[in-house]
Amino acid sequence: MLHALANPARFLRLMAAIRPWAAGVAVLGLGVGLAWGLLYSPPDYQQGETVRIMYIHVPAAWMGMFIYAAMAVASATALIWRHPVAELVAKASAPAGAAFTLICLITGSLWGKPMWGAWWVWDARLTSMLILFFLYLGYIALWEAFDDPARAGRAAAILALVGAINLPIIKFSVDWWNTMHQPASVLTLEGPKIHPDILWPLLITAIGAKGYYVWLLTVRVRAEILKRQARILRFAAATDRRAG
Amino acid sequence: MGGHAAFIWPAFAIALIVLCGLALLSRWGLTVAERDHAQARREAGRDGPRNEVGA
Repeated sequence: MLHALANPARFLRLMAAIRPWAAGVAVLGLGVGLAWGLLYSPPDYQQGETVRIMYIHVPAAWMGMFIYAAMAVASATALIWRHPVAELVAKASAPAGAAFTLICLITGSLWGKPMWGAWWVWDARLTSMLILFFLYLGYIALWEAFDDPARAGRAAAILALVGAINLPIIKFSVDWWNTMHQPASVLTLEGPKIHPDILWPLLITAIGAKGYYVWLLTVRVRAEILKRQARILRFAAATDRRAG
Repeated sequence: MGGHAAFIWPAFAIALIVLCGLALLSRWGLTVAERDHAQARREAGRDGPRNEVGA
C-alpha cells in the first residue's frame, strides 16, 4: 500500500478521486455544524451564549494537533522509507495545521476575555498550543531556508518528529499542571461528559474540518508534485542543451 | 443572542476568513503550478502536439 502510493501519478489519481468527496464533507460538515452551533444549540448554564465560540475553538484545536500528528507520521515515513510522496504530504499539511492552530488561539482568546477576564494567560495548555503554532511556522520556514529540496525535506522532517513531543504535553497539560483551562470533556476514557445538544454540532464541525484538511491536502500535494516535475523537466532540458 | 455574545461573530468571521483565505491561496497555487508545469513541458519538448502548436 505504502509503496503503491509512492508513485506520484497513482497518488495524483487517488487524490483526484477523493477531492470532490472531501469538498462535499467539508462544505456540509462545516456548514451544518457551525450553523447548528451558532443558531440552534442551547446556551451553556455557566458560559451562556459564549459557549458558541467552542464550536470553532474545539475542532480547531483537535485539527491543529491531528494535523501535526499526521505530519510527524508522514515525516517518519519519508525519513525511514525515503517515500517521496510522504514528504510532500507533510509539507502540504503544515499550512492547514498552522491555520487551525491560529484559529484555536484567536477564538480561545475571544472566549477567554469574557470568561476569564483576560485575553491571554501563560497557562500550560495555552502556552503549549502557542508552541505548536511556532513549530508549524518553523517547519514552513525550514522548507524555504534551503535551496536543495532534499536537504530541506530532511531538516523539516526531523523538526516535525522532534516537535511531536509537544502533542502529549498539550493533551495532558490540563492533568499534569494546575491550569485555568478546563480538563478534557469529549475525548476521555469514560466517554464525553457534555450534553448531546452541544456534542453533536461539535462532532459534525470536526468532521467538516477533517474534510477541509483532506481537500486542502489533495490540492497542495498536486501543486507540489507538479512543481517538482517542472523542476526536473527544466533540469533535463538544460542538460540536453549542454550535451547538444 | 444576549449576554456575552459580543465575541461570537468575530470568532466565526475570523475562522471563516482564515479557512477560505487558505483554500483560495492553495487553489491559486495549484493553478500557477499547473501553468508552470505545462510551460516546462513545452520548454523540454515533451509536449508533442501542444509544443508544435506553440512553436
